[in-house]
Amino acid sequence: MALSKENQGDMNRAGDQLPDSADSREGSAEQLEQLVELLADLLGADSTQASPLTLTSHSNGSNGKAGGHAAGIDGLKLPPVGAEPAQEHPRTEPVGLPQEDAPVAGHRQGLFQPPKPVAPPFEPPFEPPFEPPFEPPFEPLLEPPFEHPPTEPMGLPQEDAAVAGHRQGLFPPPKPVAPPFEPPFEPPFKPPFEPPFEHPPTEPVGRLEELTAAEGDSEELSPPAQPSEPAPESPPTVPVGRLEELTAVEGDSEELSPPAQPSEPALESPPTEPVGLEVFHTGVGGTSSSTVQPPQSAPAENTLASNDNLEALIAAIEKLPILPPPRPMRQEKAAELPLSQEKENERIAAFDNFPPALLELPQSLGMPAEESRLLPDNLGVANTEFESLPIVREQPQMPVRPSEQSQVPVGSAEEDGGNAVERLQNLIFGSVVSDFERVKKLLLDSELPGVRHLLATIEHKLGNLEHQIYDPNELIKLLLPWIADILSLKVADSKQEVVRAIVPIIDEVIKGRSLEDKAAMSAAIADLIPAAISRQISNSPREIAKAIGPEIGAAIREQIRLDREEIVSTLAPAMGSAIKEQINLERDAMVDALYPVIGSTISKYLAEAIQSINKKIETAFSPQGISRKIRAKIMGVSEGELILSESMPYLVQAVFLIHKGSGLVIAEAQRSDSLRLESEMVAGMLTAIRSFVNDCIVQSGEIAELDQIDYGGAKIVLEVAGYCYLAIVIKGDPPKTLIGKLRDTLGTIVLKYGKAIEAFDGDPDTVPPAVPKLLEALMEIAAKENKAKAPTALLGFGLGILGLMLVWGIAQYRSGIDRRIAQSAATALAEAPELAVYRLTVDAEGGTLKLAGKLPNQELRSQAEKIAKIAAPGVKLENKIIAVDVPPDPVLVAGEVKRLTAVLNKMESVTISTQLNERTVTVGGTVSERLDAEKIAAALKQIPGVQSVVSAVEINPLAISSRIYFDPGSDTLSPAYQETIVKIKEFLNRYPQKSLRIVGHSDTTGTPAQNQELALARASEVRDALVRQGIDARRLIVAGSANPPADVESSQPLLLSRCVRFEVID
Amino acid sequence: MSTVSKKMCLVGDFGVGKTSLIRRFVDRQFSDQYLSTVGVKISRKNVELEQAGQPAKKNLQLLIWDLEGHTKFKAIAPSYLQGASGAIVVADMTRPETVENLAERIQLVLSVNPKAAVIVALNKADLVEEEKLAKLAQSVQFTEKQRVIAIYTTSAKTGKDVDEMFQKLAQKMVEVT
Repeated sequence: MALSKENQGDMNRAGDQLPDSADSREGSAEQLEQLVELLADLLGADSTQASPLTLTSHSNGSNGKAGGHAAGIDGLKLPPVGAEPAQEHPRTEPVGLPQEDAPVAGHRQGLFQPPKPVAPPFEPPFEPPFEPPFEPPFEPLLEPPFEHPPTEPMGLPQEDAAVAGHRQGLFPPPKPVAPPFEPPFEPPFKPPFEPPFEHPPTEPVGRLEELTAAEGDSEELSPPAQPSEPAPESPPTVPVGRLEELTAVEGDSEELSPPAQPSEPALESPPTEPVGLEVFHTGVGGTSSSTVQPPQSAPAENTLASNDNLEALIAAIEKLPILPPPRPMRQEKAAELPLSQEKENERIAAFDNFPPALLELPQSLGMPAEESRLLPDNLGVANTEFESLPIVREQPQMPVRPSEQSQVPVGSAEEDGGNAVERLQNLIFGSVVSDFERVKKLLLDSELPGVRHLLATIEHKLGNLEHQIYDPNELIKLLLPWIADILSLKVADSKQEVVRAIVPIIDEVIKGRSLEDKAAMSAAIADLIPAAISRQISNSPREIAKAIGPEIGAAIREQIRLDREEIVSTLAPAMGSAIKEQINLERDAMVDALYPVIGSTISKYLAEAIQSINKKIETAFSPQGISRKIRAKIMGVSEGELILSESMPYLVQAVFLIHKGSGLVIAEAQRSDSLRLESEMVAGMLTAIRSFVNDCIVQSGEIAELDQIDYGGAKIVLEVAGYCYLAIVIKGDPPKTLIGKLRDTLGTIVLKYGKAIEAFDGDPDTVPPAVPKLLEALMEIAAKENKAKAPTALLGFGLGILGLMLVWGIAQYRSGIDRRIAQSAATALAEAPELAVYRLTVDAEGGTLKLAGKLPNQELRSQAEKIAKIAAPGVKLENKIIAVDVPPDPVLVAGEVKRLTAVLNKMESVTISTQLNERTVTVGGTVSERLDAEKIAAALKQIPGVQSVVSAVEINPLAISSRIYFDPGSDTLSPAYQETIVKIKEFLNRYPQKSLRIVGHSDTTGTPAQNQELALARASEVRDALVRQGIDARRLIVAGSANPPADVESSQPLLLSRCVRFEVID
Repeated sequence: MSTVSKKMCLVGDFGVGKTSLIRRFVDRQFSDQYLSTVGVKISRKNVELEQAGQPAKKNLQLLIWDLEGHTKFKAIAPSYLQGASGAIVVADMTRPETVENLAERIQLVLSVNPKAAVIVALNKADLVEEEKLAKLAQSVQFTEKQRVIAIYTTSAKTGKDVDEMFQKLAQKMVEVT
């Protein structure tokens, strides 16, 4: 019987609600709970109702009735742990087997009838909060894997052996009896552990023998809420939907609301496999009702009685709401519903074509090899048990807690029914297998290869996960993509912690990386270095300077070593400015620095010049030398200058022929090895300057031309003709010969090409070609002459120096002579008393004596001239003395008075002193005669500036102060006194009226008489001497005294006493 | 082809813009700063002239003599004008007295160089309204009008007609010779 659309929809819903992850487990647990409740109710029903457990339509939202169901649950008898495995139910024909007989198919279809029209009100299933699926550690099942002996297909005697074998291959043997029910355990989340794959225990799923006595209440069965823990420690290999234990159930047309099939299209028959339940087909010939058979063998009457209830339970289970799957895939898969035989075949085929690797996965997970391959061979045991089982529509991945796991025992029909109940019980009320295991087992028992495939897939994936988690390499691969994100999150969350963690080792990291790959590190930080240095310079330039400073020298040395030219070209442009600046700052320091160099250079240059000069001098008497001398004379310069000028090099830089009026260049010639001048600009400015000079400076009517412009060491020589002029730019001092040649060239040009020159309008094509050649020839001549003179340049320079020195010497000699002449004249004038008091200047220059000054009158002026002539005879005199009334200088007057006094005191018997006071001289002292006093006064009065003379001179008679001394005891006149005798004689002759008393003295030695006699003898001796001088003896009176003279004291030497003195008498 | 050189003079009263016109033409620059020219200043500019009937242009080197405009220098101006193939007589449109002196300047140029080509430049056109420009240009009177090639209203500041004026004069200078 094909599923009605409604049932299909339910199936769809069930399939849709099948979760494939933790929430699916929760949903399945919930559903199981509901199922438990339902079963409990069933068990609580009238036991006389030996009808199969009837599962009426139920409400999906029957979770709240769990309590009511609890009583029922308590009444359930679950197979004890370790109980014999439920016998295998007679197999039902698997879905999709082509050999299936029609009655079987119809019977099968009858099992999966569409639900009754009464649809339970939909209640959204309870969706517990999502928790990661929990896979508790694997706990090996206490029961060994159940290996179902191969049995005849239940209820299908006519089933082909091939079908049975095929079924055996599809469905593995069921597991042993499930342990007692345990509430779903929800431990905290742990990483899913994928234990090695093992064959699921062959426990019957959902032992339902206790349900046989229950009324077929249409209890709502809703699958208990599945906890979030996943599944399977060891996924049962119970084929989904093994229902051979339920074969004793009559095939009432119980409503079975098949669970929704999410993924695989439902088969045509049987369509309504309940979720997690084993749907067992009734035997052949039965109605199309589906019943749920208890898995274990039970009393036949209970079995039979519970079959209806079981069917109802199954139907109710099928109607259990399944949580909506998150994946849209299910929707798609749900759309593939309803079941169809073809699709079932496809699924089987797909299962047959299970990837070997995946099939081998269970082995890798630790499953026994014989069981590791999910091949039909491995499933042979189960297949024998579930051959007759219809194939439930493939369920999506639905993890099931391994808390419960039931096995579908294999046995007789009654036993099968009981086994089915047992299995259902186990499924609902808990077994040692997890929910996932239960569901899985149920699914497997239901012979849903698709579901098995899904379970296998789940196992595979879980195995993968476990492998990834526990294998370090895989774990690394797993975590590797997330490490960056984890770090980013960590940094974003707590940056400081990360910094603190990294900072202590960051230097080591850098160092290590640098050692590892220096180039890479260099490249990494290279971009930062300039900016870092710039920043540091701006922040703290001194530190940078301190850091770099000591190494600048080494760096420069290194650069010089590497590339000297680079340093030179870099520093050269600044050297000039630097030197200039330094000169401005510290001139003296620069002088000191350069002096040794400059001095040496000049010395060297002078040495060479002198050498050249010497050479010239050696040829002085050569014809050249003679001609040079003559030329020097004619030019009015010394030969040295001439030699020097002829020896100095010059350079003709350019020659321009310029149109006089417009200033345009007619022709030019310039040196190729020097800076080329702007001919047009030079010519224009020269023309403008010439015009300016001619208009502004030259007097009207005067013919004059600008001949030369000097600038620094160069000059521009202009030679002007009629309509043009030549301008030659020369560095150095050009010789006259060059000027001569310049004129010759210009003359030639004007003579031969005058017209063309006059008509020149700026077009160079109109200039005769010979003109530029003439200019070039001029330059060549200049170059030749310059080269010829080069060796004598230094010689001329030396000679010039010598000539200068000679001239200077002559001048110095002449000036010396003049100085002497002037000095003698000045002395003579100073000696003249009347001129001494006037300031007169006497100079001599070039043989001429020049008198200058001021005198009060002409007479003095004349006198001065006379005195000067006398002092400097033969010298030309130039009297520039001015006769003006000039008061004598008081200082000079006082000096003159003093001088005259000294002169007068030299006179005989004159002893005077003078004093000048406001032009009055007071004379004091003594003179011998009054006449002397008068003369003195008169002399003083003659001094210019002396107005009056006051004489206070005393006239003292003449006295001869001279004395003649004698030796002890001697009266001999010493010849030394002859002069004195003469002076006395002259005195007596001067004063003829005077007489002379000659008094002799002696010392105290001897007797007085002797002394007296000796004294007299001495006086007589002197008298006789005077007489011999011609003095009349009558004028001489002699006397002698035995005592010393009165003015000689006894303490004085005796010599002073042995003398003759003179007294003048009238 | 060789370059022909020609002498050109700019004459006019002081401050009319002679130096500015030259600077605009030669240096392509203008400055509001007034620096009186002392004596003479010579500038050089190479121009290319179209030749009638010839594809190749003629290169002409203009030597432009900028003469001082002050009256005291008037006496020596003739010396500077000698040999000039052309002259630009400049007046300031904002100063009528400079326009009045145009005739005298033209006379001076032609007296020294009878064959010279003369152009009158009424400068500082940017300071005069358009309407007045035309009126002023028409009102300019001088006896030697027939000797004047053209009258331009120029502006050294904006460059109005400056290049055209020099080009025109250069062309005429070459044609005259």
